[in-house]
Amino acid sequence: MLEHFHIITFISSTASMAAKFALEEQGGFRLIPLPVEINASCGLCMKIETNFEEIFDTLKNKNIHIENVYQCKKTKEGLECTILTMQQPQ
Amino acid sequence: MYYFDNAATTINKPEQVAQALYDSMMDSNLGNASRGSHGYALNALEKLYEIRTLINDFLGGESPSNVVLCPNVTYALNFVIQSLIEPGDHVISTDSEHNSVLRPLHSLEQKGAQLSFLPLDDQADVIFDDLNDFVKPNTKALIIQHASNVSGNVNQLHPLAKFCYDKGIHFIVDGAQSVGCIDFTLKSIDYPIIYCFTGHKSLHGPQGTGGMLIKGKFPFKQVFSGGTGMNSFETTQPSMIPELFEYGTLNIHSNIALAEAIKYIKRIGMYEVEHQLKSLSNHFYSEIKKIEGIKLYGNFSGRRVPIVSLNIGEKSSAYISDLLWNKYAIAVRGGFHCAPRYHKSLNTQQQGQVRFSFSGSNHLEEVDYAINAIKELAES
Repeated sequence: MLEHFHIITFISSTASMAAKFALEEQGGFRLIPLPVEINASCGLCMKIETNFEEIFDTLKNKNIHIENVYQCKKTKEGLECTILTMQQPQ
Repeated sequence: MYYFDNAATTINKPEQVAQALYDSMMDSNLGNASRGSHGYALNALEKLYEIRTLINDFLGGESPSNVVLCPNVTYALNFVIQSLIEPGDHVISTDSEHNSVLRPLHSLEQKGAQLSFLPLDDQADVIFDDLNDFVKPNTKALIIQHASNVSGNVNQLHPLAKFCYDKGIHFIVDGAQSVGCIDFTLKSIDYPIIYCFTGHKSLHGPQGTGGMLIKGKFPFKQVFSGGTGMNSFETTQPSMIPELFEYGTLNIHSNIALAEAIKYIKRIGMYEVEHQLKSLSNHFYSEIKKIEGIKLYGNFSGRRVPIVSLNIGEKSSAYISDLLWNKYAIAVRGGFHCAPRYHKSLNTQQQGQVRFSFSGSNHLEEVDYAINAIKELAES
């Protein structure tokens, strides 16, 4: 079975931690090293396995500056990530 | 021993500050923030964010991410000045400034920047009346102290911040002597401001801590560079705040202790702290001014930080401060306090001034002892 998840990237390590604090006790995510398949400013990113919409809405409502959102799936060859075009928090 | 040199540094740190420093070093759970995504590195990154959040709340900043941690206020001021000022720019500052502002400015002057300094009146207050006339088409910034490290006079920031906003110039403040002394936050400033602070003076934190709060957008450029744990293939420093001004590994242990110092002060309350410090310095001032032959410097009718600078007749401030130490075990600061333009303005460039500066660790009995010492020296 293929694993599907979302990745949110940030402009900086501090921004990634701001996102973590904004989510407080909300679960379903963790900070991971940036996959080599993704190009982003910061070496840390947020992997979201469940409740993506809820998490994204929280970040948006708390004005957390995110860089990009990706939809990813693990394949036999590695990771396939597609950038999502959606309104991002500023 | 009687310590009245708290404007230089406070020597009595709360026990929990020292304990926090020790505990953080013995923790064995703090890796290097932003270097890796394992638990140890994330613990450190999280701890630093907690510290930024605490400082941001305490000083009323815009966001924890806009709190830059630096080794001290001098570093913060240097970074900002060098980041924003170009060789062809004009900068307005004041005759009250410390060398932490003056020397970076003079360094830029040698590269082609122009400087103007607002003068002081005979009570060491900055004369802002003609500020508008100082502004030129190429004026880039106004840089001032929040409080003087020699007179103890406090500048009102809000009208100056509005002036700078209206004129389109940057407003940079040296908060070395004000943070931890007066009940103030940046929430009272409705305009862009860069506010630099230090941790080891009235916040009672460790030496080697400080930083700046950035409220608003500024066109910062890189002034220094190094590892940040991110953008590794970029040849320049990341442009985002705070990483633009944070180079190499931060001093997390001392910053944890600084956070504990701020928690300690928050428990007391800044209103109470200011009131206590004001009581000590007012008592000292009201008794000292009765002594014949004493010259006092500053405006004692307005809001102040707990600093009282004086001279005994024409006697050298270095001589008096040495006598106070050797005869009375009283530690004060004579000389020129890294404020050359201030002393020229008040015509004490030869004599200097004897500076008493108080902290919450001082007691009224100690202040009375100092008053009696000055009385004896004035009569001798």
